[in-house]
Amino acid sequence: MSSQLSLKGSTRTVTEFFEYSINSILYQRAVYPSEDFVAVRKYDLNLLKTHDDELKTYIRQILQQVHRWLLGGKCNKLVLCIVDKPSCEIVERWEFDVEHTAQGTEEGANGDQAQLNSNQDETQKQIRALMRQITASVTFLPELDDGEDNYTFNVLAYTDANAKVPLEWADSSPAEIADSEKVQFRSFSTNDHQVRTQVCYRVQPSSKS
Amino acid sequence: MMDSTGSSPFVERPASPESARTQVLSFKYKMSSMQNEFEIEKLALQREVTLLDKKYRGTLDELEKAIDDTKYLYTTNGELETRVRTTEQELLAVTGDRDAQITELSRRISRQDRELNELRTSSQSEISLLENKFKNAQIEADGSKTLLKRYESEVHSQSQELRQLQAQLAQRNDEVASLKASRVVMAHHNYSTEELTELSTLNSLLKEQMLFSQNLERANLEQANELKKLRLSQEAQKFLQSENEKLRRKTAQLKDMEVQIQDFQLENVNLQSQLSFWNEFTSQDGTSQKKPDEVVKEWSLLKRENIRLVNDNSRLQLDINNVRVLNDEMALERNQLLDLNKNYETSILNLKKLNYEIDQQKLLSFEECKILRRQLNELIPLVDDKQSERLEDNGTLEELVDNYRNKTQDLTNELKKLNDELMEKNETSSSHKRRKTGDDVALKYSQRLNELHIENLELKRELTNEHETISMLESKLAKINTLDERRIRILQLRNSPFIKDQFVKQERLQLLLKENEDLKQNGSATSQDAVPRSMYERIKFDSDHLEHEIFRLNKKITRLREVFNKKSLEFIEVVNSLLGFKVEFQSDGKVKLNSCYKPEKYLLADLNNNSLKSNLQSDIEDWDTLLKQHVFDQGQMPSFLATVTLKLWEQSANSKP
Repeated sequence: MSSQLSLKGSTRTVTEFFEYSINSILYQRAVYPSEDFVAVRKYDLNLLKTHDDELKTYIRQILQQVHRWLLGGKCNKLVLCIVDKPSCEIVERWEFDVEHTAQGTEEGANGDQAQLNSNQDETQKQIRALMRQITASVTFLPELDDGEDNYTFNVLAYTDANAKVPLEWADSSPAEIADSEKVQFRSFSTNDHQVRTQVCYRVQPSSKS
Repeated sequence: MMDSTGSSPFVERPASPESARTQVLSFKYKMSSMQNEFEIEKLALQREVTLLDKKYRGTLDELEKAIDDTKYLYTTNGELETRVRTTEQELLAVTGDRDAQITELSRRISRQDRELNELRTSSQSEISLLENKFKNAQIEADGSKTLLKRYESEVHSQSQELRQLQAQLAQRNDEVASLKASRVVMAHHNYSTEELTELSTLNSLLKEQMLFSQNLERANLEQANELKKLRLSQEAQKFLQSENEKLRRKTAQLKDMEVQIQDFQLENVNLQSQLSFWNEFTSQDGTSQKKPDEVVKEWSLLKRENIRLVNDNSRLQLDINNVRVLNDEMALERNQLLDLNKNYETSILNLKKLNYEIDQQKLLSFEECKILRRQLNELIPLVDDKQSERLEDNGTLEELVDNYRNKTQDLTNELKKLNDELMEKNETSSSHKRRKTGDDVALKYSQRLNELHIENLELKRELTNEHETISMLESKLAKINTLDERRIRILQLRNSPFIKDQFVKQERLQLLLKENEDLKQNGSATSQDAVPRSMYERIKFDSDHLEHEIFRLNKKITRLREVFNKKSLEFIEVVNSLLGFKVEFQSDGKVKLNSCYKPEKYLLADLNNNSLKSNLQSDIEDWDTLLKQHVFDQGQMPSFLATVTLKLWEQSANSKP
């Protein structure tokens, strides 16, 4: 029972991280205009979160299903692709690898509350560092064209073949970037999951004005 | 010692008194030496006895310790047994739950079977009903077909008759017409009676013919009605035929349903086989109401529990093994101790025996000494008084010595006998008791050990059985898992912004392609005024898109306004708090300033006309001089406002108590 609670808590932490990271990336990479975002206090940081209803609904819809898959141990990767609208090319690919670790069961069963709290604090610390890295990534990532409404995004979920898939979801191609540069970020781990983040980006943009 | 002086050299003479004395002295010396030796030996033996006693006590203590250890092992073994029992009970509970699930599944399967049977019977009855209907309809259709054929043939014959009659009528009409014409001709020429009669007969004939033709017409009408009826019946026939076809289709559907039923039956059989497979592993007790998914879930939980139990079991087994090893070691030690004990006991007994013999010998030697003293006392007067008779008495002395020897021999023999008897008695009484008690404990212990061994073997057997079932179930699960290959699927939401964008593009492209096609076709027709519909659709789509864009831009503008308002409010707040004036921008280029120290009063600056109005004049005494000094002379509005603020602050500070 305690291990199930631990799993739920861990999954909630991971899903919450996805929400804030997606919002941050969309803001930092200017996929959506900055006026669509409001500052919120999270992980002891000032993060930006959208208040556009359409986008909020879309992200919530994704994360609700991802949460279900994570609880069932069916989802092992979430990818955010930033797409160039006119050419339909993927310019950036943010990957979040989720590894299901089993350490939570034993600790959940035997560990005390203090241990859990310390774990949570450690997780928060790791997430904070990761969010800082995401925010700072604009310094090395190639600049995206400043044109109005030039980019859009897509979220891909990597699941097991036997996972239950609602009708709103459809199969997709991996949408990988050929000849891309990869930058690995810090990872964070909860009682039941370890999340590794990396970004792949196109080195030489095509001859698009 | 013997003296050779005598009558006969063959007669032994008694020893001289000196030699006897020396003998006595030597005896005394011997006796004293023997006494000393005896004392020494006695002391040594006592020492040995104390040492042996100590050793004996030590071994007894060790034995007690060993017994305590065995008791402790026994108690631990009992605890382990209770644990094993609890685990067994848990296992029984788990198996009971599983049985309940299986029975529930079997009940559901039987219910489904029943439903299936009911469905089958109902469908069969429906099929038979429909078949009957179909047969009836076929029969009716056959009857109506034959009727139709008969009617058709009759109609055909009637129509032929009608044609013949019509032909006859036409002939008659011709004849009548010719006759009329001839009558007209003859009216003025022939007035003969014969012709009149002929005409009257002809007339009557014609009337008859007319009647006949009228009858025929009536018959014709009737036949036409009949034909209509037949047509109606034909339509009814067609309707029936269509109905028949529908029924056929339905029967075909029934066949499909039958196939479905067969599939269901197959599924049922599969489920039954699976159930029987389940039953192989479990007994047939208990009831529960759970779905297969839940069963699988619970099964996975049980698997985890089982793994845990297996771990516990292995741990227990290890403990048992350790205990067994300890037990064996203890048994070995016990045997060694028992052997040692036995050796000690035998050595003690031997020593006791020796001790006893020495005691007896001591007593004997005392007795000898006494006898010798008595004899010596008897010999001394003999030496003094009857020296002459010494020689004669030598024989008696020798006899006495012989008697003494014999007596001592007898006594030693008796002593030996008594000693042996005593030792035997002691052996049988004391050591037997001790050994018996020791043997009892050992026997009980070994019996208990055997029982535990047997129980352990049974538990091992159960454990292996459980392991087998677990491995079987695990292999089954692995098979189930491998059935739906663990591949990775990449999924995306259907309404993602990218897909939406793509969809819009695709739609526009299709519309443009269609428009292009239509324009090409219309271009060849060279019709200037006609605009293809596709163009209208494309323009409509574009306008919709533009509307959407406008909506989006409006949204953006409102958001920007919100941001602007928020920021400007922040700005005004800052200005209010830092400069002490509430700034209000009015529509006609005027700016109203309210001081925070007198909010009801204002300063109205008209930027267009470069003028300033205020109702603060009454509150500030030297208003005009200040205005002149700061604004008109120096042109410093900020300094004027700062002075006004300062003045108002002083006033408000003074008014406060």
